[in-house]
Amino acid sequence: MTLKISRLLSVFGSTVAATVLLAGCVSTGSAVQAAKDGPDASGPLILQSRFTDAEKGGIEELVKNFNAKGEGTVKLNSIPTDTFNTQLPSYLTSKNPPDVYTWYAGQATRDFADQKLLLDLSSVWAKNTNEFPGALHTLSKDSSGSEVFVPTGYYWWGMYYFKSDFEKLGVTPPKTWDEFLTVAAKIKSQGVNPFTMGLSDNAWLASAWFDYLDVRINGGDFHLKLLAGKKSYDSPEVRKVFAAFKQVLPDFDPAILGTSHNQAVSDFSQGKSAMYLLGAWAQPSVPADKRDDLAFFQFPIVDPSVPIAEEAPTDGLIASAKTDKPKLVKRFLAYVATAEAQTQLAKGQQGTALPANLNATLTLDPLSTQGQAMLKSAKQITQFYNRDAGDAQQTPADTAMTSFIAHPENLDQILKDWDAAAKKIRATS
Amino acid sequence: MTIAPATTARVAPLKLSSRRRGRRRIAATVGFHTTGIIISLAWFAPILVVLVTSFRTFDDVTANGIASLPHTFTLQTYVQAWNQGGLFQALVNSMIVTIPTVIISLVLSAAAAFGLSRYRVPFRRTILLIMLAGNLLPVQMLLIPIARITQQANIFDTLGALIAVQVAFGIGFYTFVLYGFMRTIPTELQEAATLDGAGTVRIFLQVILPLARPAIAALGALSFTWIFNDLLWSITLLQTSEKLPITAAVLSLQGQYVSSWSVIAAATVVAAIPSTIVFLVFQRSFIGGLALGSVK
Repeated sequence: MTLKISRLLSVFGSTVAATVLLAGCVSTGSAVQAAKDGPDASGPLILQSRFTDAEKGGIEELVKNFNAKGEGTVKLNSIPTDTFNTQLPSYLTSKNPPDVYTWYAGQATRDFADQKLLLDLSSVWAKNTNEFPGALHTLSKDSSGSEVFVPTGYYWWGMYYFKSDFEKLGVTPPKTWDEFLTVAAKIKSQGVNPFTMGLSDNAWLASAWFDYLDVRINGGDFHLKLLAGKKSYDSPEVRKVFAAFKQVLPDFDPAILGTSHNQAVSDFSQGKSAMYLLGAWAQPSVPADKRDDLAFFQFPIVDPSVPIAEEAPTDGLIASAKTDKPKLVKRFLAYVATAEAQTQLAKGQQGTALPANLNATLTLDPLSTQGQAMLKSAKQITQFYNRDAGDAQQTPADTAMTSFIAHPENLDQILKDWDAAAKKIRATS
Repeated sequence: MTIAPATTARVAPLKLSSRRRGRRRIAATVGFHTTGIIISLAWFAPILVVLVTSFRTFDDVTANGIASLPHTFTLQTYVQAWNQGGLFQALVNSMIVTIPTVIISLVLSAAAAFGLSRYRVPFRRTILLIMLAGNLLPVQMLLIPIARITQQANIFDTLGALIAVQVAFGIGFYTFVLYGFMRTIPTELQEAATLDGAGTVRIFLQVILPLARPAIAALGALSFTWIFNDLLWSITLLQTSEKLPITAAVLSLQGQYVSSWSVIAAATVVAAIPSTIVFLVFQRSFIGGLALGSVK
């Protein structure tokens, strides 16, 4: 019997060793090459997109319009969002990667640019720099200052509620943190959960609360420094953020950790929860007959002396440095940057995004108008946690937020772990 | 099913006890079936919820909650899932991958199991253990190496790569099961066949394979379900949306921010049909095959 076990162990051991060896051999195999000069390779340009089905309307139209121009063929390849987000590093480092990708502006793009995986798009930008806001231009640059991103649109975040529900509950949208707490208390006293979130499948939604409390308490500059790794999570400033979050924590639906986002939206639509901090994309997820009833207000001001910063996540396109059709890529992206294309794209997004190009002409619905005005009045624009910090940093942030919601008393350990995890990711990427 | 110990204690009132025994038996039957029904309902409830949800509109689900009684009945969800999710192409892709994979891996592992169990192949135990040890490794560990290998072999993003990987992964376990089964077939049968002049190939095809049919059928049904329901390998090895199988197509109905439960439910129902059919067709040999492999 002992003989058998030792034999089994040796077999198992050698299998593991062989696998590790094999993994070692192949992972060194891919070297990054620069885009080739000379004529483009034949075949269509592949646009790898994370927008699936319900959301791909605008981008499908965009591709169709470009193909109709006869300057080349683009093929849209839609991949489920979660798969796309986790596979993007593999796509970019693979041997024959797709050419163009939908992605988030900011650090999320910069991470790839710093690994020299992205195509330099400065020639695309040279044509129409003036048509974009300066802030979006800055966002589209890598750390050395060359453009690697073409923005297609951006949207706002707000505290969403139903007008009829607020009327029934006898409350009005608050402006300051104290008013906010009073409103929450009043709603709670009537047996309705003031806030909800669906964290079981979308833990990143909790980061919206972190982002907003941080920019309202410590300001946008501190927030961006913190997310860039220049400040520590285990700091008095971040503790203040969690202290404020702890004030509202009892006002959340107690089941948020085990609720899916769809379920939370459903509870919200049924009036079981009164408010939901969401991005503009949330509008289509409420039932059609309640959409006119939907409204939002600006995240309340905690410290009036802090300049107001708002979250405006920017979406756009990046291109692989390894593409064998750089000329077609640039032609396509130049088209995407035009006012005409951006108008089309925004129309297809059902009022959930604002076009990035300033010359895009679009009739805005009331919520979009309010969102645009809110962003224009802001002194500073941040994006969203994963876009400002880099997509890989989202996981430790999710862990920190969800553990805090479950055990607020463990704050010391949570912040220590978060800081360590963030540093570790920064060191290895 | 006898309740003897209780009655032997009280022998005297025989008639009464026999009547009581009858009543007890009825009670036992009723209890057995009630419990059975409750357990089956508990198992069936999630499937029922999916079925019911798939016929409701998105607005109904959101406005009344997923647990409420349906207020609407629509087939639109199926139309939407079929068109939006590209379910037809996805089903075809799934079949292109699943059917060859099942056939190739079963043929190969039956041959391997035959050799290993019926002949004194040197190191046969080691060979078997190595094959099985491969199955002990978590799949996640191998995702990146295998994705790289397929890229360097220029088969990345092809259904062929998926078939090759699935065959390679299945073969170890199937061989192990078939090995155990074939060992139980009496050697006398093989000796008789040899005396009658049958060669190795003939013995394999005409003696062993027919006898191993229950085990092969059971494995066939199992592997069909496994491969058909696989998501991880397909999203790792494929990057073109038209090549994705049904599991990934269902996933693609889940939007980045907005997803319609009812459309996803409809797609899930469609995705479950092929494996259900296979299971129903093979179910008899499935249960028989499992028992045969394990008991002897």
